[in-house]
Parts: sequence; structure tokens; C-alpha cells
Amino acid sequence: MFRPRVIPVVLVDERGHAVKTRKFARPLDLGDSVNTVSLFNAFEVDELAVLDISATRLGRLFPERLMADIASEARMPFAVGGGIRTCDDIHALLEAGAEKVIIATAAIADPGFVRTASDTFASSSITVCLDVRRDWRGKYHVPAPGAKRRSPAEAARLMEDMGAGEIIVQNLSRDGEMGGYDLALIGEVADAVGVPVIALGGAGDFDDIRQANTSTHASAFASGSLFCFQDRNRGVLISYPDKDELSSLAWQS
Amino acid sequence: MNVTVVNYANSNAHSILRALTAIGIQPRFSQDRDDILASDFLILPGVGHTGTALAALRARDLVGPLEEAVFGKSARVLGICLGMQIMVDYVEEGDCPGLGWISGRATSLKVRDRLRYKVPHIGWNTVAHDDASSLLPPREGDRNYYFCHKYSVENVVGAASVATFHYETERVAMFEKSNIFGVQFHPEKSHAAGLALLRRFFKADA
Repeated sequence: MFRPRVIPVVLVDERGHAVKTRKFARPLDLGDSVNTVSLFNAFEVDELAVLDISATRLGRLFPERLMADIASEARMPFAVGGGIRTCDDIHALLEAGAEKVIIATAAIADPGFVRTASDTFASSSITVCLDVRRDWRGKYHVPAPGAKRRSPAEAARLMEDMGAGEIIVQNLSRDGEMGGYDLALIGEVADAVGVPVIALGGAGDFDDIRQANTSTHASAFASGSLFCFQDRNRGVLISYPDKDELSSLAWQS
Repeated sequence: MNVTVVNYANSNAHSILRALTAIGIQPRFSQDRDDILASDFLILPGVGHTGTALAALRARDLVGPLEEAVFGKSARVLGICLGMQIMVDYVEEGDCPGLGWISGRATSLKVRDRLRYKVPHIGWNTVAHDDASSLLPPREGDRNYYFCHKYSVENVVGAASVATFHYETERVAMFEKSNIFGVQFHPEKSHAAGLALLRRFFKADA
């Protein structure tokens, strides 16, 4: 039996606090990020993703001190993203204890960077995150300031060719909305590539994960809100599905 | 009890060192030949490029001390993921000979249905029970482990135990041959089931 992964996402702001956004705005403070990681430890989560949401805007890399604190706390594999531009950046994060890095902006601006990174660090350490928007006609695209605008499937195939080991796909407008994953988008991307695709953006309860698992070829399901909030009323409560719920995702492989 | 996690190549050893500490073992993380020779237990961790890792072992002159420890002094050795793949005769990633401790080949995971069976194979999978295995739990035990790999070992000959997992077809999850052990999955990332497996590796008389 193969069981896909369920991955909590911790967003970190410029102060090192864990926050949860809605459509990447209105951050709600969840407190110290290292403390949040240690709460997830107690649930024995499959993997953790930690994203610095202000790194690209501020032109900085994930703060090394915070990275080391999180690494010493985390007892599960974790991926780190935010502001990664060079192989030196990746090296520093992997050395500090991250299992994988997540590249978004730099991958779209310069796909060749993904090639260099996966050649240097092995593709299993390199995850690309595709941030997807819909235009006024309802057409999906991956925004690429100053570069070629691609459909999510095209962008995913390109990243696979460049050696990305995994691809995260998220519809930006679903962030924090807890109304379910964008199944059409996730299905389209998961059917475009042979590498694992991680669904992100919109999960509001465990049924959303179950549904994405049965109706798409995604290999993992990530969420911030689902594991940070008690329910759609957004009372802060760190949680994680129990063993039976997780096992219910397994399929005969 | 002397335990060394061998430091070679880009191997990300943080998680294995943490897991060993969690089961009460104080490992050394070392590339020193004297540490290797003094070890009762050796762990070859592994993340990265297999060919590069083998080249690093050879460049650091570690193959000799490892073989003396494993074959001369019967240290128990556990290869994890890439650490398992370097133990066989031939390694496709790098197109080079492996250490040749176990007869077999490490080749890329081939799948026919690439939509359903994504590669790398990342996630939890069940290892089939094998009576001959000393690392696996009894039949009724939890045998779900965390995998992350795009190469795997095949054509294993002469091992006392070969246990498999299923991912479109049957594939090698682990092998055991006297004091040599290899696991394709990551016990250090497999929570309780993984820690239990590591405990069994250390439990047997050295």
C-alpha cells in the first residue's frame, strides 16, 4: 500500500513569527515559528514545509539563525523556501539541516537555475513551487514578470525537464480560503509530469484532502490553514490527522 | 558500543543522528579511518548522487577501512537509501562499479504508468513480511516506512533475506547478508516503526 504524504506548511514573516495569510495578505500571527514546529513534532507529521513569505520581497535569504533553531527542533523531514537565488543559498540551507529547498520566483525567472541546482544537489533536494493565477478569461497561468508566461502544465513539464524532483502547485487565490483545493488545476499539473506533485492552497478539512487524493494523481497534500486552525472560524489550534485518517489515504500500489 | 555514521559526500545526516539519539545511542559522525575501524556498528547514510558519493568514499580512502571493519572485524553495517545502493556491484547513477559487497545492481526506477506511479517514489509504503529478516518486526507488526528514491536495487543474489515493496511491480526494499544490511527506505524518517527497526539493528550481538 502506498500512502501519500500530508504536509503542514508554516509561513514565517520577517520577525520569524509563524503567520497564516488569506490570499497572501492579512497575516494572522500564530506566534513563535520554532514553537510551531515543535508542536508539529508532537503529531509526528510526515514532512513539514517552512516558507519565508517576506524573503523575496526583502531580497534576503531565510535567516540562518532561525533555520538552525528550526532544524534542531524538527524531527521530521522538512523543506525550506523563500528568497533562494543561488547554489550557495541552497548549500547553506541543506547544511543547516533542511532536507529539501523550495524554489519559486527564481525558478520561473531562470529555469536554468533549477537545472544547475538539481545537478549540484540531486533532484530529490529540489522542489519547485508553481504559483498559479487565473486571468480575466479564467485561463490559468504562472505569472512571470519579464519572462515567458506559461500554462501550469507547460511550466511543470519545463521544471521536470530541468530536474526538479517534485512540484508544488497552488492557486494563489485559494490561499487561506479553506474552500477546498483547486482540483482542476492540480489534476492538470499532476497529469502533465512524471515527478510527484504536491497540492497546496485551499484545504479546509480532511475531506478536501481525501477528495484530491481520489480525483487527482497528486502524491502529497499540503496545507497551512487546515493544520493551524480549529475549523473555518480560524481559531488557532495546531493539529494533524490521526493515524486512521492518514491510513484511509493509502491505495493498493 | 561504538557507533559511527560515516560522513561522506553531501550526505544529509541530521535526521539519522537525531533518530539515533532518540533511541539512546550516541553516534560519532566521522570520516576518520580509526573511528571506522573501532566501530561495532556502522551506518552509511545517503542522500544525493550515488556516483558522486562513491567517488567521495574512494577519494577519502574510506573503502579500505570500511571493508576491514565489515569483513575483518565483522562490524554490523546498515546502508540507508543511497547507502544501500552503493553496496552492490553496479551503480547506474554514475555508471560505475559499486562496492560489490552484495551481488546486485542499482538502477533507475522504471514505471509503465507514469501518471499513477510518480518517480521519485516519495511517501509511505508497506514492506512485505519476510521470515528470514532480522530487522523487520513479526508478521503482525507495522511495516510501513518512508521512501524517497528514484533508483533501486535489483537482481540481488545470495542475500539471506530480501524483502520487497510494491510500486506497480515488486521491488527490493531491503537485504540482509550476515552483518551487512541495506534498506531502501528511511527508518530515521519513519517514526515509531523506523525507530523500532533501528533498535533491532543495534540489539543483535555485535
